[in-house]
Amino acid sequence: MSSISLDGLTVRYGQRLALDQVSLQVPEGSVYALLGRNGAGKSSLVRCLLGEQKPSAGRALLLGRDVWRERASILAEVGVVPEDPNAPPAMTARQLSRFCSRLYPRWDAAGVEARLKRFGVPSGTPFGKLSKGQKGQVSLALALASSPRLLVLDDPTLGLDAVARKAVFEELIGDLADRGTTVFITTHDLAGVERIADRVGILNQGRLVLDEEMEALKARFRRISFPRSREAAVGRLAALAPVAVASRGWEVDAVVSRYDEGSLPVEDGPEVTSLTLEEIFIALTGTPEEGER
Amino acid sequence: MRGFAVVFGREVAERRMLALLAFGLGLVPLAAPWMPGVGRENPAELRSAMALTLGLGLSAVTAILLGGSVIARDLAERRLGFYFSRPLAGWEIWAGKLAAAAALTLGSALLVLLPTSLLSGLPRLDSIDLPVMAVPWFFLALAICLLELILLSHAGGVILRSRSPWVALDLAAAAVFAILGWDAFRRLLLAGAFIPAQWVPQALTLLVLAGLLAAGAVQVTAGRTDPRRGHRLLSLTLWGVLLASVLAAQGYARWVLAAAPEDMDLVSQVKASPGSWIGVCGWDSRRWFEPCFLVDLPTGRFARARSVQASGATGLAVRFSPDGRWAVWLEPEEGGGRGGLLRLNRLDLRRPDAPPFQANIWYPRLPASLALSPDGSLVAAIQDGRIAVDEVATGNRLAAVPVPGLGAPVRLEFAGPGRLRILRSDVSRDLGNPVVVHSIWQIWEMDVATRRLLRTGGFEDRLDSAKWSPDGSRILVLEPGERATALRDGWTGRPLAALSWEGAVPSGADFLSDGRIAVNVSREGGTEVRIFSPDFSAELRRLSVPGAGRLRLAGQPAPDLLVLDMKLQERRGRRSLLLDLATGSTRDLGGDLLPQGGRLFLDRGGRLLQLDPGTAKLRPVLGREAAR
Repeated sequence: MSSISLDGLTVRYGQRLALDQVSLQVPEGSVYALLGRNGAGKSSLVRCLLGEQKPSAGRALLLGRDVWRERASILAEVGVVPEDPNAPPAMTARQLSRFCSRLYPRWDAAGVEARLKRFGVPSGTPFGKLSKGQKGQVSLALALASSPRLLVLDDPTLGLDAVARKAVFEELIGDLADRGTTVFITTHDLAGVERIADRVGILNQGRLVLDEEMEALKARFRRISFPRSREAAVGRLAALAPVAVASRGWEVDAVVSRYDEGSLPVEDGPEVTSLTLEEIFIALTGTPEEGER
Repeated sequence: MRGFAVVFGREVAERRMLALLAFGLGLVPLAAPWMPGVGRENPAELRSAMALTLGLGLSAVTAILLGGSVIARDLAERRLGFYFSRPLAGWEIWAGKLAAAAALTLGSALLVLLPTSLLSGLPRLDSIDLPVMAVPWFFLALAICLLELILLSHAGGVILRSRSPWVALDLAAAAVFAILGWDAFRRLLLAGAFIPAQWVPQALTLLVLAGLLAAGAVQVTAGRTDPRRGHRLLSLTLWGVLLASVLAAQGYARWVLAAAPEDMDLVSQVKASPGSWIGVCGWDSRRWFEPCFLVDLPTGRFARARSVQASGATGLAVRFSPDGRWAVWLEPEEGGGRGGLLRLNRLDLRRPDAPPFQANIWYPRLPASLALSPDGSLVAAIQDGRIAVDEVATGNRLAAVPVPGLGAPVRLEFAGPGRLRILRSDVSRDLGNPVVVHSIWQIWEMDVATRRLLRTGGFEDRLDSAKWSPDGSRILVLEPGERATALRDGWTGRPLAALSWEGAVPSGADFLSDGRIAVNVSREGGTEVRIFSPDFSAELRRLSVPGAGRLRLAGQPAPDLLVLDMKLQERRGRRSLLLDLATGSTRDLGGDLLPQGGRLFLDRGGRLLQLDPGTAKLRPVLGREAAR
């Protein structure tokens, strides 16, 4: 069963198309990473996913139910970390935990306290006075406290330093190991998400240009370099579906999306290297990620 | 429901300092009697007034601030998502937040009143002169107003913070709503439909409340965290409800004002003309309105005439020309542009297709006297101590001269083309018997063309009984103390003839249509009507009237018929009789009828009855049964 099922999801803002017929499935217990550059449509997709925004067309099912119609009951089983942590500024983390505890069927208040302690976030400080990173950590602690079947994390590491980012992902890995929660995460921290994601989707200008298992993705993408003098190799490159080709002096440097070990003979002198998720992302979306600079 | 309680509790808890502020403010009135420059005569009343003022002030400010921020600010500052990412239904978020704003608003007002109430009892409302019965309604209305203020502030907050171009449409829709609502109210008020006019703002207030509630709910539940979509939904719902409401108010006003004579259940006022037309007002119980009409009874043709308020009463200010061709009446100025002026209208009663004509003649208030010339071309009125004569067709003022003499009631009548007679009665008391009031009549004549006033005569009338002949040439005056009736000249007041009554007491007299004079007298053994020649020199007939009671001559439905109104002595009540002047026979028309001159009567059920002189049968023509 799919925890998330998007079917032809389309969002328009006037004439502008923010999401164009996006369809995807997130199997139960998996970790799905949705990547995309700023303005690619991730936030619109997450708002639709949480039932905050009505799609112009298509629909979003969470845990098998239409989220626009049944948002409140579905969210009892969903933990959410928004992109911009947004709790009332006067409430402390402890008050927020108490507030939320009355809304969810299960609530682990001690778990919230323990996580905040691990993150080093004071639980008696008003939310409005916490740093952006601390706010995100409070949101994550709250999201995990209801033992959700599904976690929706909208760029949870935005604004966090490297240590805090590591703590977030470790928390997630720990939680996943404990409960096997389904996770839907959008992030610019590609290195972090690469460690935990089972499946990856890439949004580019509102269109889902990639939706694939992480292992399969990494298996079919390679960087291939070979001398320009090997004209036969240049000819064979087309069959490997290059997504980015660059000439560097005497060499051709290409990222291919259908790598097959036997397609470039040894006499072509290819140098084949595996790619990180970030490299694949950059190759697919054109230019380096702004968030990573 | 649990979500509602959680949101409500959180909102209240977050603003708990407001309670402390309110209670602190509530202590201020306790010190009021000792404040400098404040009277100390009635400390309890002073505290009440101050506590009420502070309570109302604080609750109004709280309503505006909380209403405008409790949702709209969260929405604009992107904090509403915190609630929407929880298992909370949209309505729970909306209702929880607004209910908290309402509770804080009303609660803060009550907390301000608490210390004063503990010390001097519940606040008294003497200063606003409210009847005791109305106090709960006053507080209910106040609570509704505060709730409406919260919701209005909420809507305003969402609209302004969305910074969307839809604001222009909101302003346009608000203007349309205000204009149409005010127009419906004003038209009803102008027509004298005071109860429906009162209902329109009351209903619109409640519908605005309903519209604001629905719009706020839709904005939050369907617009969710999107400020622009929320604004759009709020505007569509709010203006959808309000524009439908105001169109309904317009439709209601139109329906009320479309009342026709046959809709009247109870006829309350009748003014008969010399012809077949009448001026009539009556209660329409379906519309809760007392419309007035000019109605031609044989054909059913009618013209609507709005009533005029004067001295706390409303009625139809209509005059008919002596030949029955013209009717003029006054109506409150439509549009209210002339500050509550009354405008003169005229209708040609003989032309079936003639529409009412609005003359360019206005009066600041109901004139003390209004007269229409025999040909319907001139109208004379007394206003602010002046006699004004205007030409109806053009509105030109032909004359405006001061009323001769000082004070005292004045009556105007046209005594021929271009000739106006002014009758003024100065009241004086008999020094020997202050109860006896004498009317000393002065008769003046004014030539409209030259605007010259001339006093032509006068006479004394001890019982204010003077009755002018239809052509104004003669006056009948009763002098019961001397058991005499005098016929005087209509221009000079000089006596023309007098009759002394031996063994009888005259109780009424009138001119018949052919110039003869009818006098009803009481004498031992009964009452009778005596008919005299026009010069009062010869008694032509003496007709006995059966039954005992005080008799009044109440109209002449046909040349040889006279309606008598007898107030019965033995028991309360009255009977109407029809006296045949040719044969002397009388026919009983029925009890408890109010003769309205000539052939018309009002019965106790509020029906207008018309007499058929041939059969002496009464037929209902207007009122509940006539409508059926």
